[in-house]
Amino acid sequence: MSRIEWRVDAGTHITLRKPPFLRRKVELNGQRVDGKWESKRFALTLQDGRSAVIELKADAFSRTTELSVNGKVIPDTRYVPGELHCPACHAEIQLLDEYCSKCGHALGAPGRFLSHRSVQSATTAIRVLAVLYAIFGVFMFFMLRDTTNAALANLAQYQDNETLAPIDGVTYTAGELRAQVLWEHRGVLVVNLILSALMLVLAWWSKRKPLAAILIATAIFAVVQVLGAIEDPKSITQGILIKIVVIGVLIRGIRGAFSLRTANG
Amino acid sequence: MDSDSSGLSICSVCGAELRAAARFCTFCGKRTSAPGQEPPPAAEPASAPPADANPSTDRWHELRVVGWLYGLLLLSSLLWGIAYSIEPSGDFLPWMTLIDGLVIVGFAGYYRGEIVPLLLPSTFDRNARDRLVVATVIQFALLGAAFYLLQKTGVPFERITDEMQRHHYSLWQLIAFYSLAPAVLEEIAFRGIIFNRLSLVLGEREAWLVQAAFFSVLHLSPVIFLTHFAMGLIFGWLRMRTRSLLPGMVLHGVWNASVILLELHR
Repeated sequence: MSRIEWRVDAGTHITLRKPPFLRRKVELNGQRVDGKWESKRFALTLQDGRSAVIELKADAFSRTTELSVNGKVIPDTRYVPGELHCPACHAEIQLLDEYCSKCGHALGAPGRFLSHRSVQSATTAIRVLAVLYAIFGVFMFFMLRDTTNAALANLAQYQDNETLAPIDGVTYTAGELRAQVLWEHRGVLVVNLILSALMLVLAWWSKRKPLAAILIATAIFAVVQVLGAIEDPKSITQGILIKIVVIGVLIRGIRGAFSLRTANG
Repeated sequence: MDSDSSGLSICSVCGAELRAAARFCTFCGKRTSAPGQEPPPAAEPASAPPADANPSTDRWHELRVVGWLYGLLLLSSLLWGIAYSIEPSGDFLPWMTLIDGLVIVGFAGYYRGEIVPLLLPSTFDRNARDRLVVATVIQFALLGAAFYLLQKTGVPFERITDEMQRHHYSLWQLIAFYSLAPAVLEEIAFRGIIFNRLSLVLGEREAWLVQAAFFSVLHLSPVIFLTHFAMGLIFGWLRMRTRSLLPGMVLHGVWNASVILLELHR
């Protein structure tokens, strides 16, 4: 059963439960709230008269469940730290505070914590890329085996120091060309494993420095696409939708990490 | 500060309920303390943020500048790479260097107030020369060993001297295209423009790491990501410690020229 919780303030706790095969249930301070879902929206009134709405949203990049109280988006407990402190004077603050009560520092709307969501999505995307690069490298290593063996068989008749006919204006010896062929076979595995390892390191680092990590991951992803396009220009359009989604998630992650950074001072 | 009939404090601007002992309204930021009672000063954070007066919209602009510069250089690499794959014997190198140079000089011109002071001969002082010596020793020892090991494992590297064969370049043309131009342009781009922009957003240390990563990744060869990342760190260290681009340019140019001469010697 999935569950999302919002702690609006000390006296207001809203929970959305989704039991398997059953309808969603909304609870306010542990008590079930009767109501209807209309166009993926559920309206309720809090104990102090404030109006709240839970909305199920989806776009090309993600599906989210959002709570708004009096028009302000309230992040759920996954994205809000247990204790909140003013980044300027470190006084304790509440989730709904937009200014610090002690020093007046502008904190921003509660929705600022939702930036965590896009950062988490970007981190997940980086981990997925790490797995995909590793799988691709292993797959291509076995796919290229026969081609490599055929090329090496053709070169077997030449001695290592024998000069071959120029290729694209450059002269190679048989030994050099043999090394090149062998590298092209092993290299696809090595390169993809390096990329996979880099992405795993960046996914780990994003927990501490999300903005820097996601920036670098985005740069690496872009370069890999460029390398593929140089190798085969037609590959630019192959999987274009997935590439756009990945870039979109990463750029959202950059914006989210940037928002977190500026919100924390 | 007003009180309603029940004695609760409410904000006189927005009418929101004020917290006990609050000096500011948490909804509109209006000061509630009586004249003469100053709010506590903001405590110094444990790690001081970068000295930066720009609001967040300006900082986002800095990231966009980095994105534009990096994106244009990457696009240039893509176009020249496709050109080479279509016409492998084409003589595109001078044009590549010219186009990339124009892009970088264009950005440098826009930020000339920051870049020109980093290029003044006076910045190449004794401190800069000492740091350059240290960096040179580290770079040649560490990266020399790394590239030697890579070659021993059978990793083939593109032979710069192949360009001599294809296009009948002289040694001086090779030095100009592969040593001097990259040394000057890449230092201005990565340790100048990109590092400065990123420092405003991330702080110096993270900017140092990110510019080194961008530098290594833009060389379009995953096998040498780590070695070029190390190079980016060394050049970035020189930039941070000397407040000058000149030591990095010298080391970068000397390293590239050494690679060419070593290849010719072999």
